[in-house]
Amino acid sequence: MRSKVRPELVAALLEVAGVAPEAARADAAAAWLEAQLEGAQAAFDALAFEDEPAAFVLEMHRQLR
Amino acid sequence: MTPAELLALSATQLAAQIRAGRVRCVQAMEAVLAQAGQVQPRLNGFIRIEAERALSAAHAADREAAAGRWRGPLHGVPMAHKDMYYRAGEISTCGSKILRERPAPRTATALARLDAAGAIQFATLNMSEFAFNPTGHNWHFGHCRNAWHPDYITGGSSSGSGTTVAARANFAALGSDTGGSIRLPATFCGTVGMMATVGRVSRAGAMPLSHSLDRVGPLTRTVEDAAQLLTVLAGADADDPTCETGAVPDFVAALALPVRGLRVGRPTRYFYDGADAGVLSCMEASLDVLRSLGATVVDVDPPDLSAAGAAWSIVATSEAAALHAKWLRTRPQDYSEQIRTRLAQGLAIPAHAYVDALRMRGPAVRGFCDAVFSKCDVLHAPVIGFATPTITESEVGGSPAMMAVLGRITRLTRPISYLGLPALAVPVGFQPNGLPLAMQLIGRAFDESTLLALGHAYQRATDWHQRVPAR
Repeated sequence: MRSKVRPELVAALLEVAGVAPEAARADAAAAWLEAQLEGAQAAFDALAFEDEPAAFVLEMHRQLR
Repeated sequence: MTPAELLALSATQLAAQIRAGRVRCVQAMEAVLAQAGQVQPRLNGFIRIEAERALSAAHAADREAAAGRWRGPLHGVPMAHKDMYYRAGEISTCGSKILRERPAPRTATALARLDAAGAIQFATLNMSEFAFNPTGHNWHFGHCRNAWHPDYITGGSSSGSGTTVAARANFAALGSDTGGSIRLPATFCGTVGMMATVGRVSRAGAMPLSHSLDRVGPLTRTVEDAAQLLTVLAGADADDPTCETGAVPDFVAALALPVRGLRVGRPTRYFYDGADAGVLSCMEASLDVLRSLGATVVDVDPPDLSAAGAAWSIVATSEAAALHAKWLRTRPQDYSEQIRTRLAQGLAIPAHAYVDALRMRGPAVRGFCDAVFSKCDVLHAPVIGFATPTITESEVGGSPAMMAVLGRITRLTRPISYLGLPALAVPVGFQPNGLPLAMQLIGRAFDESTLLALGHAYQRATDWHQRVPAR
């Protein structure tokens, strides 16, 4: 099972970006990020190895036809 | 024609009156400027009103008309737009402190096309800071207020677009939609909102928030106006590489398409989860009207859209964070707390999650379209599932409750933004609190015509769009 997003990780990534960690309220940001990742994880896991971002445009054109 | 009668006209009706010589462009401009000045202290929908320049342009348009020179289908129609559409050399604040003094580097293609069609811009409109808030709060220019009751939110981020069109202080407005920013103000303010398919309308010269998700579109009083504006706005643009190069339908002509026999889908999952009774009754009543027009209402079972909503959050926040990373580093104090907090969250999103959220988009739209549009031609759904909140109720700033409150507001709009499909918001009545409500009609990719035809037929059978807020 994927480990929880830790607030210290959020703070560290903000530091890497040169942004003061308090800008993002690390606790709340970690909870939010974890919710988004968990919400999408099953769909991400269902992707085929070959799926790529550009397929979206192809799919829209397929719908147009 | 009195100013009140003139202001009651839709944009296309006004254009017809000008063309027929019954209304002068200056007359229309004077009326809308007076109305704008009257409502501004109560609604705060405008950021900058350029009265002198607009009147001068209206005089010029009258002279051209007298000489038989018509610029296009919107000749002389006054409009004001969300303050994120660049005009070269002028300030587009984007609702922010950061861009309050920066002259725009170019003119937006959308503005250039409206100019060429004869529309006259008289003002720029309030909006959420950098278009990244769905309520319409703005801590730099003051919160925008709902024309139906100033204690209530307008929705965002196209807040001024919604409330000024509703207040008859603007004939039509450009908005933009990344996760609901056209459809939410449309439902909260009782206007029409058109979000066309990804690639249908050029985004060149419009402030970017999320390159993968941003869409340009109008908020109008009627579906007919939306069709007219979309006809003007749509089409290939060498300055926007994501713009479709194919032929653009005549959306005005499409209004006459028959709706009898159309299959309208009523979703059996996701869209009505936890919906208020007031929302349910408005939606059911609107379906009854569509049945009376000859449409067939069928139940459809769309895929669960929760993952699409989460993927939207990952894409939008990652891309917005990338756009703002420099200013987050160098000017953090110049953001409001809420926007700074949300943008900074994006800096912590893992790159693989962002890429997966983009990889998922193709399979997601295929799965949705296969499940939905094999059963119906248009999906009918609410824009929001609960009563319009007040400005105070939704004043969450950057608090820990912020993401839950904002996420709830965009729950029914984000997934459609992610899927890239077109959606048309059309007013369908009023909630028990007296605030308006809209349905969103969701279509196949590039099939805006069917949405506009169905929405237009609905408005010919109802009068919700003719209701006017008390002054």
